[in-house]
Amino acid sequence: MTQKPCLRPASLRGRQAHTVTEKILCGSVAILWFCGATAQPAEASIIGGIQKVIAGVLQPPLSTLVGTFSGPPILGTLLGAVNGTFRGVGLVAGGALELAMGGVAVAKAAAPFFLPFLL
Amino acid sequence: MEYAPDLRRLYVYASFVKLEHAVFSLPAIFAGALLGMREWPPLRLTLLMLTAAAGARTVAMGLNRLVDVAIDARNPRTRNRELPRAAMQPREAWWIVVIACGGYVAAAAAIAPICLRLSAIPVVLFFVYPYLKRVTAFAHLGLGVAWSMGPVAGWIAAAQSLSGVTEVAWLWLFSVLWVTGFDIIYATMDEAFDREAGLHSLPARLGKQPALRMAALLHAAAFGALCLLWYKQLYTDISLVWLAAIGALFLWQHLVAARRPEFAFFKLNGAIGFLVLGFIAMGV
Repeated sequence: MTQKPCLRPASLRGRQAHTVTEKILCGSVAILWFCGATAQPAEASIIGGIQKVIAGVLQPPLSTLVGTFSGPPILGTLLGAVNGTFRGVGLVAGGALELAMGGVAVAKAAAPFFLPFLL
Repeated sequence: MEYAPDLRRLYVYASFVKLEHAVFSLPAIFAGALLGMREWPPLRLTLLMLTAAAGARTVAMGLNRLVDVAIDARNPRTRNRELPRAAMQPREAWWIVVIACGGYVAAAAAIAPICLRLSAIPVVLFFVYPYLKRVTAFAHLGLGVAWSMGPVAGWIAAAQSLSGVTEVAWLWLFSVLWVTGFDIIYATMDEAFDREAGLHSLPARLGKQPALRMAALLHAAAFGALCLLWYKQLYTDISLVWLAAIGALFLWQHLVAARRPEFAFFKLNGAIGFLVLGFIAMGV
């Protein structure tokens, strides 16, 4: 009777199978690693992301005020509010993505230091 | 009596827009006007401000009720409100909002062109506020900001210009903090329901006691803003007495808030609104 070859890495032999958390963690790290190949430098990405998120949050009130004073009464305010909301959502989403990409680059750099402790 | 059903209808409408909650907004609006004019506004302006204030708060309350009708129907505390129990139709509610909005804008236009230009800003805030509790536990702050437009609007109506509007900054800050704080007290009544329904509020997020501590902190800061207003702009002995009375009511409110939130929210804050008006009237 031939024994089935063990496909698990030597470091893990003798341990229990991977838990779901470990699998999710490893999968996430792999995805981050892959995405990180196209990321900007981490600092620029994180700072840019934070700036965009802040600008996005401030966009609706600022745009409402601009519309109020530069547009026709009432309609200017309403259009400013709608415009500001759309632009704000776009900026927050873009900023969050940029932040995530920055996070990816950081995770990519930090992963080798943490993986041995996690696996 | 032929008109009895009509009167009942009017009562339903008044109850729908919580007419009694005007005790919070009207004194603050006139407090802002007193600060801007340094005397009581003339009769015509007073009537126009009353019309605008009544219209604006009807829009605010109406939108709040319409947006939240499905939530109110599930909450045991609010399921007897006019819309959930079908005492009135949503179409009627929308008509009330539209007519009130028309009255508000017309009154603002009659006060001054700058008031007409700025009149849509509170309406935008009134529209946004009811949705905030679906998104963030800081929705109370949204109410504070929306409500704080009252004293600022009063000041602008009196001054009929934006120049020197920073004069109302301390009163504005007081309003934001005060209303945010008492909305947290109000929300303690719905703590369990908010959690169950997945709605965001500080009591649902932190628990009743920590939320009440947060409300107390906000009210302490609100009182601080009022002290600064007194020091910088009013500074009379008699207004200091009114200020002390406001402080005492804040203290009382937080002593009873945990046991009697409705009394703390409605009665004591209603009294605080009038005391703030008196405090400013005695100081200008």
